[in-house]
Amino acid sequence: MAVLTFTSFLSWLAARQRSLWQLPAVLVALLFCAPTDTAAQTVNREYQIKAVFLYNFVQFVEWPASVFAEPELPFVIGVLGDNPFGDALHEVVSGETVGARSIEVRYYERIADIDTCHILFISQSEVGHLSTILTALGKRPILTVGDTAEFARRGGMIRFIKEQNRIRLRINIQATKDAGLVVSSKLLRAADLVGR
Amino acid sequence: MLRNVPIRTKLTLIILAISGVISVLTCASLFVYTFISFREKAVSQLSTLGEIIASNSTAALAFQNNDDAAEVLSALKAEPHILAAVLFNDTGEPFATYHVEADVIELPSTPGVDGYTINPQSLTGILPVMQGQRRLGTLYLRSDMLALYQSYKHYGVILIVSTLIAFGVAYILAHLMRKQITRPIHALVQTANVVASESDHSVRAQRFGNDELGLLTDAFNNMLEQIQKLNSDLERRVVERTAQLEATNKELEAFSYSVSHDLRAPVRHIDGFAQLLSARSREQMDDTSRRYLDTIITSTKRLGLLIDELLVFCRMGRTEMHRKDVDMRAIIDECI
Repeated sequence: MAVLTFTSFLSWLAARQRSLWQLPAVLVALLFCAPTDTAAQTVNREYQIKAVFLYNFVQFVEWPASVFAEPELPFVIGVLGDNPFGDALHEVVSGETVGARSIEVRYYERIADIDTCHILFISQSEVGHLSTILTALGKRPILTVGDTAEFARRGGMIRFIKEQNRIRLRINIQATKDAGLVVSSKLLRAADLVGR
Repeated sequence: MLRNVPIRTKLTLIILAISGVISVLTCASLFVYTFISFREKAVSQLSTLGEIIASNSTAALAFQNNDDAAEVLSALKAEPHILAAVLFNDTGEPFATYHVEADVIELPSTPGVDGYTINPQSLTGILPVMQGQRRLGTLYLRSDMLALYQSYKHYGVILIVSTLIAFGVAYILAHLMRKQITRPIHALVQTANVVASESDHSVRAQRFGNDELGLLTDAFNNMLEQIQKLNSDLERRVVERTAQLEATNKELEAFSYSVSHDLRAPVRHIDGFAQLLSARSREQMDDTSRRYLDTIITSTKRLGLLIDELLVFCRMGRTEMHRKDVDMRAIIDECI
């Protein structure tokens, strides 16, 4: 717990945009007092943020109207491959809605399992056959998100980049356009852009 | 206090007082209205600005990009009246800040309650940052009141200048329009003065219009005419009466003259014959008869004297009177 407090303090410090010079000192302090399960905890913390981000995409991306043809179907956030989020993603979306639709999290093992899906997180375990997955999805209106190297450049739509304890976004505009998705200019401004 | 000042001054004062009261009341109500509406406008401007900033910072808050949030806030540079802005995330921690260098007030560390507060130094707005139905954080904005005070100042100057202009115009109008009332009154006063000082009833006051003053002028002129007519009537009658009186007097004089003249003859006869009787038969008369005869002679002489004096008196009525000292004692002695 001590570490959690420390990390949140850290991210808060970073958020304040102040005292960047303090960061090395804080990191050193963090290293010294870090217990053995630090790695697991920080991964958790990182994926908690990523889970929130995944949910936030719902607000800043527009799907073509044809996707929501049937009103009773839920809005689906899918995870392909190993689930790095634990329960975090479930916790984030539980009780939330998109318009009148509830939000559902689905976990897929193989690309063939994907039926209705709006946001798809492609886990690191799938890095080997990323091209196959992206080709298989083709131009379906599914927002593909990942955190593997070169994810956006290789045709994925949004990549999480970890940068100095913060998570930044890189968006492949061409890929989103090809899939018929409209990404809010506000989101585009907050992200790095590729594929133009 | 005002009782003795001339009417034209009174009129000017009345007009200026009325227009002054109206201008002051109008100004006061306008200023109250402006005071309220400018405050509302200031709040609504801050609110508009806040909505724009809040709407632009949703993605930055949702994806924890404080560079972008700081950039969004730095757009506030364009509005120099904004002193400070703080963007809080959904857990209430400061996420990005903006403030001008001259600002000395400390930035808040917690979001506070949504809403707007005005105090003499600043206008503070705290508004939610929403994406759809979801609250992502809170925006705190603080603006100085200089813009508001500037507006008040401009408005005040305009009000004062327009009031002064209105006063000036009212004075000029009063000056021009009071003549409508003062001119006929002056004409009346002047005419009345001429009538009083020179007793000349032939002058007439000039009439300027058909209003009450015109009627007053008419009535005044009418009265003058009547007085003039009465005067001339009176004079004519005095002349007439005097002539009548003179004629009567003359007749009376002539009559009394002729009467006294005619009376003299029989009296002279009585006197003459009494004297003849006395000369002829005095010796034969007893004392009583002599005394009677003497009394007749004396009385007749007296009567003749009286008639003569009456004649003299008649003539005297036609001669002029002289003022003269008289010896009262002699007159009284004579009468007694």
